[in-house]
Amino acid sequence: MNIFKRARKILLGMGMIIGGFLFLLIPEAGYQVLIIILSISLLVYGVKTIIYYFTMARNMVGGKSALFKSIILLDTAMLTASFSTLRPAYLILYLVGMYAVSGVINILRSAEAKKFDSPMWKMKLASGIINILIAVIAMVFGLFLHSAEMPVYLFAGVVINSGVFSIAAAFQKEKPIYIP
Amino acid sequence: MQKDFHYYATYCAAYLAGYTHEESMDICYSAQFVDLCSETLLRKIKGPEEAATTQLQIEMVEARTDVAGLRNITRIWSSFHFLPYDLYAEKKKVSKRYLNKFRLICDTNSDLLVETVKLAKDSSLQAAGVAMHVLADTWAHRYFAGTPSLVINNTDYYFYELVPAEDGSFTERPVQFKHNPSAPDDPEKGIYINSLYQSNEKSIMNLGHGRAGHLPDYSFARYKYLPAWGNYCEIVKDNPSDYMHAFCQMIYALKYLRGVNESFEKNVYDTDAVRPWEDEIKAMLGKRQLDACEDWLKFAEKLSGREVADFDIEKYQSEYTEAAVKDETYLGRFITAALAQKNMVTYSIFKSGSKLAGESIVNKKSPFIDKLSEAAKKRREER
Amino acid sequence: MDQDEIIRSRIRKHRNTLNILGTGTMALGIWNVIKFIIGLISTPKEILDELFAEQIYTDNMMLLILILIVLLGGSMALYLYAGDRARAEGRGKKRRSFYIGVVFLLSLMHTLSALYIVITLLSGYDIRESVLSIIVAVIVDMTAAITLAEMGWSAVMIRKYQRMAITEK
Repeated sequence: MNIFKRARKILLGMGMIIGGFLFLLIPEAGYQVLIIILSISLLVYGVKTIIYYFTMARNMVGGKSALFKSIILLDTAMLTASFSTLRPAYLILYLVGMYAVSGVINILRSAEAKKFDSPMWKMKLASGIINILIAVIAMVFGLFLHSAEMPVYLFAGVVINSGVFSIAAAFQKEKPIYIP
Repeated sequence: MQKDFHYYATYCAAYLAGYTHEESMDICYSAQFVDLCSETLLRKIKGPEEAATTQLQIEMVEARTDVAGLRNITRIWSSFHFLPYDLYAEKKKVSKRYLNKFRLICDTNSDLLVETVKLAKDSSLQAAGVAMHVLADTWAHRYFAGTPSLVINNTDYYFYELVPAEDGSFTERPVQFKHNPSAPDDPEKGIYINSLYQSNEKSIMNLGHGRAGHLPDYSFARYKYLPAWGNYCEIVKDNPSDYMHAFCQMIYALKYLRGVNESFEKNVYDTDAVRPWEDEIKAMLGKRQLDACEDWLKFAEKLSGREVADFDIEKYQSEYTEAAVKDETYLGRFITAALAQKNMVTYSIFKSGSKLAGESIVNKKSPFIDKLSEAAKKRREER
Repeated sequence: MDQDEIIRSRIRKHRNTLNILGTGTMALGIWNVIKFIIGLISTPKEILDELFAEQIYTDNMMLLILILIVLLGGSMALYLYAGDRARAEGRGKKRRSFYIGVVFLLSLMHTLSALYIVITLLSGYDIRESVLSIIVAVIVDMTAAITLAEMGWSAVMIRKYQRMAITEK
């Protein structure tokens, strides 16, 4: 990793930790901010992907997957935006799904990294387990105990967790990946 | 292509073109060195990093993927390993962004190849070696581009190896691609390593023929697949045939550089020079082995009757680092040739309206240009 | 490029579409069921009120659960069947045309669902959801409808091109 990438990861990590603590201190505003951040980031990503599809990927074999991906992202962005008028239960559902899937993906990536003797596997495994734990806590508190503040606290925890991992990753030694 | 072709086959081609054993060694060393002259090595010998002709894996992992980083990557790989075929190719109803990348697709017998060979005329043996590396790679790496691009370089599950049967027919066998860099390719089972799919357009994994693994570099490989840019049309790649063409074309090009032929034209191959050894060469090219160095070495030594030393990356390094006038050393001449090739290709890409390889200007009064002319003039006088 | 190769390339293109959209269809089917189940867990009353009168689900809870399981299972099975067949055909295996009918049927269902929502909104019916949620639901339904229709269309075109190829031979 070169110095620019390291600096970016550290700055991003610090920003996320500060943002997470802000959410913990003012949870009332946190809910709406959370929705806005999530939906805008998904929207931007979706729009970027759809532009990529129309300018580049539509000329590529299998490029339709980019269109499909962009439609899913835009759908998810709009779905997330609509959570502001819905009960927190739906946001919790969303968080559960997102973090459960993310956790499973991280664990699979950890297994792959371990197979390649990459030192990154421990961190990916830890990240995956934490994401799944977050999903379980969200389900228990949010869906069964109907706690309305839970989404905000969860999100704050997730953001702080991601910030910590981002800083840790900046100092991780990377094994060269295969490029023929 | 690999060392078996860039080093040993180039030696054979040079010898068959009429060069002496020593001259052939210089040419083939230079041809192979193109695959090793990285910024890391240049830093080690205190040479100019702009002359890098390749990038190591570790350099690519650390490479920036911003505009400057991508331009550097494109400059190196397009200039030496994926020479663009048609910088003015047209394709209907595509964006400029796509067209710029489409135009970098490598193929054989391009105008740029003619320029590459002509650039080495009346220049050093090292320049001839650089040109031969570029020429050979246009055959192996055709249909891929020397810039990170998913939409140009991607491959998918439609990838079949054509395995020869004893009766001369071919069986189609799906290629199994895996991503474990520590495991070797297994041609018997049809298992090959390739780079991981990355949906990011500019990912390093989408550079060159990474998504097809090492298959383009194996002389025995015959396969069919759908190139990402091909609108679902199938391409059949016959490496034994392509490598034979590359070999014959190298002989033709080297004869031009020696002054035997008056010109270098596209689509001309010196098959006469190869005829006495055609069957032997075809057997070597068709043999299903990951490394054909041993076979080519035996052939080379049989041709010249002289011992062909193994490639030693450090052979000329101390000469360069200790020399007061570096340009006159072996590596100095190589660096001059590499810079000339890179500048020529980069300028050509820029002139076509694309900034993928960066911006380029030709300063006719540049001391570098003067130096090139002086060096070439001196060599002519020595001969 | 000769006519044969043009036909073959078109077939490959449509097979590729089937492969990608087939995977998406299977994921859509599973996601619909997950969404429904988790909605049922988090806000059971709201969901059941939309489907049945309160008396019905209070008195016959077990039967209702059984019916819901059958319906959900059936719905998921349709999507999985259609998606799996499409993927298989996308990979070059021959499949009967029955699944194309299922694909168009699912597309029609999504279209009708979207129309129903729009009509309900325009008719001024008292709905609990926000306008934004409704728009999202309509867009999601229409996206699914178009995707499924395209998948069906690709399957039809493959058959057409295969017939052309045989005729020319």
